Amino acid sequence: MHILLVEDDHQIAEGLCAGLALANFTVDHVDTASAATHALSVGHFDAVILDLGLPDSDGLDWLNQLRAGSNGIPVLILSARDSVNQRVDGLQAGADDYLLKPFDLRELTARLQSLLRRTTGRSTHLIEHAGLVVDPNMLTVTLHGKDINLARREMMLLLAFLNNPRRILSAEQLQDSLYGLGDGVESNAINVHIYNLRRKLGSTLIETVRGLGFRLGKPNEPA
Amino acid sequence: MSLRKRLLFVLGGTFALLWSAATLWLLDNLRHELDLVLDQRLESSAHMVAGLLEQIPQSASSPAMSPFTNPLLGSLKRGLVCQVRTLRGEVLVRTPNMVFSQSEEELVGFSNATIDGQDWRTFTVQRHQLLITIGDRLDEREHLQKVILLTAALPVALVLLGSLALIWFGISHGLKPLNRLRLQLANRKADDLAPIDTAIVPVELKPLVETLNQLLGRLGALLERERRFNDDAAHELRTPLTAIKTHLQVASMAGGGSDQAEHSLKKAEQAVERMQSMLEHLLLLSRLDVDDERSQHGSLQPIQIVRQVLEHLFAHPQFARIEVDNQLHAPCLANIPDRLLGMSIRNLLENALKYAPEGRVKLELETDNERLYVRVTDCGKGLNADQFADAQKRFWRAKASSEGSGLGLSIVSAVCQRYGGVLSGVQHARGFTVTLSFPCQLVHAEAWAITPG
Repeated sequence: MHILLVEDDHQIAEGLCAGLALANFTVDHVDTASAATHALSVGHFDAVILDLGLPDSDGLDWLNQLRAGSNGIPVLILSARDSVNQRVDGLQAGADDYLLKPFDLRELTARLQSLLRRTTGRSTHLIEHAGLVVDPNMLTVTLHGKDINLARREMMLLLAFLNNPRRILSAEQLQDSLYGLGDGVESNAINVHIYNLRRKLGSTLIETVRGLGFRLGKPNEPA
Repeated sequence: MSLRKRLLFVLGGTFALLWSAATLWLLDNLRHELDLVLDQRLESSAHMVAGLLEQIPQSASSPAMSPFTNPLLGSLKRGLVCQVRTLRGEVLVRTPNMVFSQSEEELVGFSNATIDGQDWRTFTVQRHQLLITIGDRLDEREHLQKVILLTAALPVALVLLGSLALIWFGISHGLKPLNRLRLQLANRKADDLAPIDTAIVPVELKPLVETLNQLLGRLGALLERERRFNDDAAHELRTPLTAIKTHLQVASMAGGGSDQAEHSLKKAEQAVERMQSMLEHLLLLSRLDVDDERSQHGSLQPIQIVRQVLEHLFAHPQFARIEVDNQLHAPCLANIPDRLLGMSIRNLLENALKYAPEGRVKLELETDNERLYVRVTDCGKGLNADQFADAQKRFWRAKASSEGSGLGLSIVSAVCQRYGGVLSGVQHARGFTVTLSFPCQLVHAEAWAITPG
C-alpha cells in the first residue's frame, strides 16, 4: 500500500515512516500542503495521512480543495486537535477517519487497512480473488487452500493489484506503490517481481496490457 | 436597599411630608378664620338686636310692659342665645335657655364664661341704658370646627394615599427596563458573552450597558486567548509525545538490538528532551503569569550571570561562535531575579545561534546608570518588525517545522512585562541585533569589594 504522509513535524514523520515501513506500507513523506498536492499529481497513492497544522495551509482547507477536485482518495486525519467540533469538522471536510495524537502505531495501521478495505468494497480484512486468499495483516497468501510463500515486495505488488482489481496499473504506478516516489530503482525491478508472482501463482494472474501496463487476471486453477 | 424601595421612600416621604405640612397650615388658618367669623357673627348679632331695641318706644322699656318677657322668644336648644338687661342688672328679655349674670364692669366686648358647667363665648354691647349680650356655646363651635376641618382634611388625605399608590405604580413601571435587563442577564448561559442589545434599554441605562458590553468583550477576548493558549499547549505537548510513542513502538516492532531499534530509541530520547524543554518553558510562563517573583531583585553582577549562561551553553555545538563584550565598568544590579535574567540572555543567544547559522554571535553588556542593556548581535537576516512582534507570541516559530518550543521569545517578552524591561529587534547591514534592557542600580565600591565578580 502506498501512503502519502503529510506531516510537518519531522520527528513524528520519521517515526511514522519507519513504523509504517515495518508494517509493509510504502510511505512518501511531504511537509507542506503544496508538496502534498504535487505528490498526488505525479504519483499513485492508496491513502493519505494528513496532519492539520501545516505551515503553508490548514490541512482542512487542503482537504476541502482535494474533495472539490473530486479526488476520492481515502484520507486519514492525524491531529492533536481533540475537541468534538474539530473532529466533526475534519470528517465533514471529507476525511474518512480521524485519529488523535498521540496514537498507537498498530491502531493506525489497522485503520489504514480498514480504510482501504472499505474503498475496495470488502467487508472483512481478508482479500479473496478466484481461490486466492490474502491476509494483509498477517501477510499470508493461500491459493486453493495451499500456503504460498511470497517475498515482501511480491506481497506488496500483489496487494497493489488486488486493491485495484479493475484498473490497469502502469509500471510507474506499481513502482510508486513498491518503492515510493523518486526512489531510483532499476526499470526492470517491477518486471522481475511480476515474473516471480506469475511463477508462484500462475501465469494468468497478471495480464499485460500492451503499451499501458498490467491488470489483475485469474490465478492458476486447482491442480 | 432596593432601588424601588429607595425611590418610594424618597418620593413618597417627600410628598407626604410636604402635603401634610401644607394641610396643617391650611387647617390652622381655617380654624383661626372660623373663630374670627363666629366672633363677628356674635358681634353683628348684638348690634342687630341693639338696633332693633332702639326702634321700640322708650315707654315700653319698663319691665312690666316688655313684650319680651314672654318666653315665646324662642326655645332654641342650639345656636345663639340673647339677653337684654338694664345697667342695674335687671333682665329685660332673654332667650329661654341661658342667663348671664356678669357684673357690668367686665361686660362690654368679648368674654368667655362658664355657666352651669357650659363654656360660652359672649359679646356684650351697651346701647343707652341697656346691655345686650349674645352668647355662643363653645362646644358647638368646636363641633362645627371639627366638621369643617374633617370635610377639608378628608380629600387631602385621600389624595395623598392615591398619590402614594400612583408613585408605587409609577416606580414599578419605570423600573421595568431595569428588570428586563436583569432577566436578560439572568437567563444567559454561563459561556454566553455576546454583547447586550442596546436597542431595548432606555437612554439612561445605555452608558451602563455599553460599559458592561465592553467588559463582556474584554472578558470574551481573554477567554478566547486562554482557550487558544490551552489548545496550542495541548497541541504542542501532544506533538513530542506522539513522536516519543511512535519511535518507541517502532523500536519495539523492529526488535531489540537492530539498527532501526537503536535509531528509534535515540529519536525518542530527542523527543523527550524537546518535551522536557517545552514543559519547563510552559511552567516558567505560567509562573510568570501568576507573578510570584515580582518582588525579587538581582543579587549577582550581570557578568556573573552571563558566565553561568555560558557554562550552560558550553555543550552547544556552536558555542565557539559566541563573543562577549562587557562594557560595564562599575558594578550594577538589575531589578530582575538572576534566574530570569539568565534565562532571557540564554534564550536570545540560543535563538541567534539557531537562526543565524554562521558568523559570530556577539553579546554586549552596557549601562547608562539607569538601565542595564543586553545586546545580542548575529550575522543572520533577522526578523522584520512584524515578524519580531509575532515571534513574541506564544508558540510562534520562524519555521513551522523547527524543533523549538516556540516559547523562547514569548518568555523573554513576559519577563520584560513583569520587570519593566524593554525588548527590541533591529535589522541592519551586518545582521540582526536584539536589545534587552532592565532598570538597574549602580552598587557602591565597598559593596562591590564584598561580592567581587
